[in-house]
Amino acid sequence: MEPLLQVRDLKVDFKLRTNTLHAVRGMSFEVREGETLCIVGESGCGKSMTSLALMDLLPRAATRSVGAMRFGEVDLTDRRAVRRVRGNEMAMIFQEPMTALNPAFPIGDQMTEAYIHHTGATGSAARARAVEMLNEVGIASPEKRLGQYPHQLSGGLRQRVMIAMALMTSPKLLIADEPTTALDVTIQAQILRLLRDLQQRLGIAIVFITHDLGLVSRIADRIVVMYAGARVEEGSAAEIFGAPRHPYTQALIDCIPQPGKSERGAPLGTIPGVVPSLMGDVRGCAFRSRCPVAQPICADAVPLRAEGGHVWACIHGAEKDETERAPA
Amino acid sequence: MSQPPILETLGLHRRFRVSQGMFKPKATLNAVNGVDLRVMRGETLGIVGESGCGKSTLAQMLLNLLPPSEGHVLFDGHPAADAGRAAFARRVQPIFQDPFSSLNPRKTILDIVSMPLRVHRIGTAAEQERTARRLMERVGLPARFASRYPKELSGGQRQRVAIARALVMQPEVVICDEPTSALDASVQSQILNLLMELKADFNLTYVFISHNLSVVEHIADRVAVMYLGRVVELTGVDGIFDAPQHPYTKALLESVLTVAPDDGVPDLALGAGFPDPLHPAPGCPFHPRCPRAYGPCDSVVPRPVSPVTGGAACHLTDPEYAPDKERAFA
Repeated sequence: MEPLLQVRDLKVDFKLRTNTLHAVRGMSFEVREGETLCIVGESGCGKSMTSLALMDLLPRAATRSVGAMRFGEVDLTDRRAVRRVRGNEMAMIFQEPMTALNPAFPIGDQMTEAYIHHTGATGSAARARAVEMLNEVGIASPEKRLGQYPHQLSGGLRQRVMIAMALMTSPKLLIADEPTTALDVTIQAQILRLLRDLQQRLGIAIVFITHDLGLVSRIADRIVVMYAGARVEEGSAAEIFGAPRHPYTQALIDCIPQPGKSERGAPLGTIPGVVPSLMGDVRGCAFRSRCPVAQPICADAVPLRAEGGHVWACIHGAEKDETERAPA
Repeated sequence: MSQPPILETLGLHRRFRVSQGMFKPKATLNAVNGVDLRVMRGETLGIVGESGCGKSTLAQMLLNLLPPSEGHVLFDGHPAADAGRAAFARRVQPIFQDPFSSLNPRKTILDIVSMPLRVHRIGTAAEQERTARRLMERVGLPARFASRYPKELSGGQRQRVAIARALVMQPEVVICDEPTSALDASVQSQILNLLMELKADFNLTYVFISHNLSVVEHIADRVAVMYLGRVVELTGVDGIFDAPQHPYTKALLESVLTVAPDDGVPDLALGAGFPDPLHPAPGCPFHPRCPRAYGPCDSVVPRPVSPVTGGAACHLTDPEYAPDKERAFA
């Protein structure tokens, strides 16, 4: 089956006065219908730039180049085509609903705007649709909410409104950039369950961007781990957490305290050094300066290894004994 | 008699008057609503809770930065309010969440770290610099950073500066308010390791405030769980994480998304009613969301947690109200 979203060799550069910053360095991935793909990485790894590049929403200073980028039949490198599907078949929700919503307009106006634009519906039909969607995301007395302003809602409610707004046009793909990071943990769990229920009921594919490994392990069908602007590993949750092949993935998992697994009070794993500068030419494996198993050849081009759907960009891992890294 | 607590709160309240709109009367927000806690010398007391539970207001009162509306903070048995801010600050120091806003952008790192020594006039200028440089080295800041400015440093490095500044006065207690929440996982683990090492090296006592339960479980000896301005459960770290008593603690623990690919997203069975600190529910403030609320919960305020023996502020664990076993554990 054709994937819903196909991205090949995506690059995002920022041309500075004297140099070029390579924020995304050749990302490739696919999203199939109805699945959840998680893109996980630390700040500055290029995960948000990747999502903005899909929607043609990059900052003005950025330049984008792609091998191919298709959403179903639509070529996403064609700006006019993107404008037709963006906020329509392809919707996006952001981390901070307070800044993504306009504080000066009631949420009803904001929810109906894109719907009217894309479908040509009448105002009253659009409002009926908004009420339906607010119901869908579990907001009580939706008619009353339409007239309220974002500041009158709690953080969890605002994120529900954002989701309802994204669903107005029945999208096939939802891009969610850290949608629960600003929320309390109990509210986060409710929002994640809501997203999962909606996905199962409406068959929406989700690209979920986050830094939270624990969260990823709970919701992902497939995971892309990013480091310094590139994909270092991709696989299912069982593959990434049970048998990580890239040293960065392994090290990152060791850094987080894991109740029940890591010993209380014992030193946590760390990653020595800092993320390399992405200015100018970046050659070889970007993780090699911090990698415990780096070799001289890591300064050359990195091989991409694969075992079924499990892909990693490292010279190691292929010859690894399976039992050694089996899940505990 | 065991040793006295180094820091103690007695019936601590903090109320704020909050405007509700141009023509509406102001409402009273009970940010901290009767907190009795004891911090023992040498321990790490974790304080967890969700936003709006009063944990940061409590931190400010523990730091003597915010006067309580009612009740007292005692340091070493003496009221903190009488100690004077400077004398108190020599012994209790803060580390805040955001190392981007807690460091003066126009001072060099050496200036920032040695500032407390200058303010308190401890030692000569040369001694101050020596002490500050020694602390910088201890927290893992290279000597070449001394003349740099905060904007040149990463988040983790800035948090190291904040730690060095907090320790340069050789305080006895450090109040850490979300010290790693703004940091990436790989940086967070470095800072947590550093805090654990420094605690042993300098015989420190920590009050460690965080919304991240995995972090608190890793670093704390005892944990206080707060909900709408009250402590709802207080126990040793094993008790909280292995045998939580309060339904809110249980829900909070279940909602922590640990790495567990097979577990999916937990169903918390919590009522959807968001807690409103301006209009807390009568009786137990958690009862509208509580999956186990029964008879007395909507009218009787649960007995507060004893700062000495700990436990849960919940009718289910109170012999006077506890329903018969069958109903409680059905």
